[in-house]
Amino acid sequence: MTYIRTLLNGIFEENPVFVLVLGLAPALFVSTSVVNAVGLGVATLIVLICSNVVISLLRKFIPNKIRLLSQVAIIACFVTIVQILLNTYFPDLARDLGIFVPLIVVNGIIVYEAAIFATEHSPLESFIKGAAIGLGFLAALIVMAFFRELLGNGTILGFAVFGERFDPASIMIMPPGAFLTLGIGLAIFAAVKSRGKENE
Amino acid sequence: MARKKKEKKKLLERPGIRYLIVLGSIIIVSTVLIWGVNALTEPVRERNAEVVVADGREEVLPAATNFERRRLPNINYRGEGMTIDSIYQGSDMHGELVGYAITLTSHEGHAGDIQMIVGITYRSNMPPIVNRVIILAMSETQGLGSRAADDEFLDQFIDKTEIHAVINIGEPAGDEILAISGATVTSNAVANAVSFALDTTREVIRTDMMTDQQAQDILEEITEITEEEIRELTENGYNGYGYYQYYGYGTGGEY
Amino acid sequence: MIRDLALLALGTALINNLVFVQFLGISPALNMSKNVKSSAQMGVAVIFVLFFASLLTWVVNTYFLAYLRWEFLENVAFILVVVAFVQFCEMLTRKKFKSLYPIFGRYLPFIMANCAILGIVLINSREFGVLRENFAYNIANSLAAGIGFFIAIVLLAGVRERLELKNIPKAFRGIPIALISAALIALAFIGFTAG
Repeated sequence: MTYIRTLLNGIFEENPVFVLVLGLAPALFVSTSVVNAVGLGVATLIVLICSNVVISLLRKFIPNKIRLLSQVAIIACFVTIVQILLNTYFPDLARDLGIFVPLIVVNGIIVYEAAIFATEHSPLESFIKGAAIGLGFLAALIVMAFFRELLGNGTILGFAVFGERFDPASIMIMPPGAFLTLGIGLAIFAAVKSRGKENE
Repeated sequence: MARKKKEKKKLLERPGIRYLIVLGSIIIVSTVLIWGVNALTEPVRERNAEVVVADGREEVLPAATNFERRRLPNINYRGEGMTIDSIYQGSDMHGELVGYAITLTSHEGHAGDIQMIVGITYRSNMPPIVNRVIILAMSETQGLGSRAADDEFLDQFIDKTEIHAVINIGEPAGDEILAISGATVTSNAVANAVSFALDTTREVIRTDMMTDQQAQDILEEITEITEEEIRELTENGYNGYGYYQYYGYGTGGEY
Repeated sequence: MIRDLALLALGTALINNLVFVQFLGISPALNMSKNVKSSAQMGVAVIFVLFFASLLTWVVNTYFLAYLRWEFLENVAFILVVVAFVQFCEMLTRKKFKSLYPIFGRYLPFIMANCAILGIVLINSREFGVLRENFAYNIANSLAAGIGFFIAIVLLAGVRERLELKNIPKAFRGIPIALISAALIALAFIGFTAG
């Protein structure tokens, strides 16, 4: 596949959240505001790319029995570095994202990608695939956050869109809204997919 | 000689050792990298923290435009279970004393230290009064102790001149604080700290109102106590080397 | 102290329920809640892992990380402890306690790489630190979280079992309808926080 194709694949056909159904917990939590969504999405993207490349580089040296342990150690290392940088240069964002920054370690996407793709492909391919899936994750988070923030808070990126009178549906900002948005998103993707299959 | 080499080869090829080496190196490299990033960014974080404290001063004593740090030798910077980090005196643009912003750290929090800043307004001929309390840093239980940082709890401290008790139910009196239900430890820690801040402010004001002679007397008193203590101890043979003296090793002279 | 413990446990199990409020453990909850029986088994497995994971990480945290002032290694140390422990248990149920595998062991891989265990362990470290006195709170929080997860997953399974018999639009089958159900249950859980 060409690199562009891979990237688009990661965002649409194999979108980690809406198609592969991975990384749900951070998606639900962080989609309360677009700012948070971008923050965690970018952080996850960085970790994904770095760990994919390193695990791919080391794939011939790691014995099978400690594969998972080694991989999570490497992922945890990058996550911690990103966490420290976030705490230093974006402390407010870090505080809002809270525990979901270190929880990037167990983001299903990263573990899945590392275990399945990076151990079988070259560093360059792993880099591209990591970027693709990471961008797909970021896109999914932004889409979810867009709807939740708009309907639940009346703002986008903190700017009030509908004016003072608008009484937002606060439920969207709360957990039920998260589940609802994700469920509907998944359903839409499933519908589009099956429609595409019918047409073929 | 040949047999030794064969045994050595076997040891390195044992799978268990291989696992240990690979995992161990990954952990070691990770540790070094993380430690490195942490050490490099620490100065930035410390500077950020300073800014937070400086902002805190302005927030708790908004009437003041300048702040000046006070260091007083006769003030007790260590309270029971808490430490005073800094005492800043705030004055307005005419140079008039507005009050004091005291940063303290309570070690009696449920999950560790609680750092807060207390703004106390000076009133001539009346006891100093709390203007505002802000929590700067704490890691108390989410939903319980963490509510000590909410205005709902901290607003109680406004306009208090003394804090004598922390109650659990009912209406708090003028010198009482109502604790957060389920977070009595945290509530007590904060209340004790604010009370100590008030005591300290009264001490500072008293010190400032002293005449030079009174200040001199106090300084002498402090020195006197020390000399008296030394005399007492010397008389009992604890010449700093009391143990040795007892066993006959001599006084050792000046110490 | 008992009162504080009880309040904490209630808080974590219901008011701040792991799945419906804090979003931790969503992946296993959704994937394993097809029927009540396997959900209950999954719930028990989670309680088991949470208990031992918090015990082990507390030991590592207090006697190793805090002692050396290497708190920044928290993430690495904790995840290694959790993964190693779960892999060890899984191996035990496959080799020695084979009868346990179908009711317990086979759920273990799903527990490893998900937010529930690491999440609770990290929360404990942040909220209770390494003070000896807080050890009881640490364990209580973990157990309560596990029980909360158990309640959540069984509830979800109960709802999904009923839904099996209804006609769901094709796009919603499987995970989407599970999420909608979760939304409704989460709505109910909000009632715990009111007042």
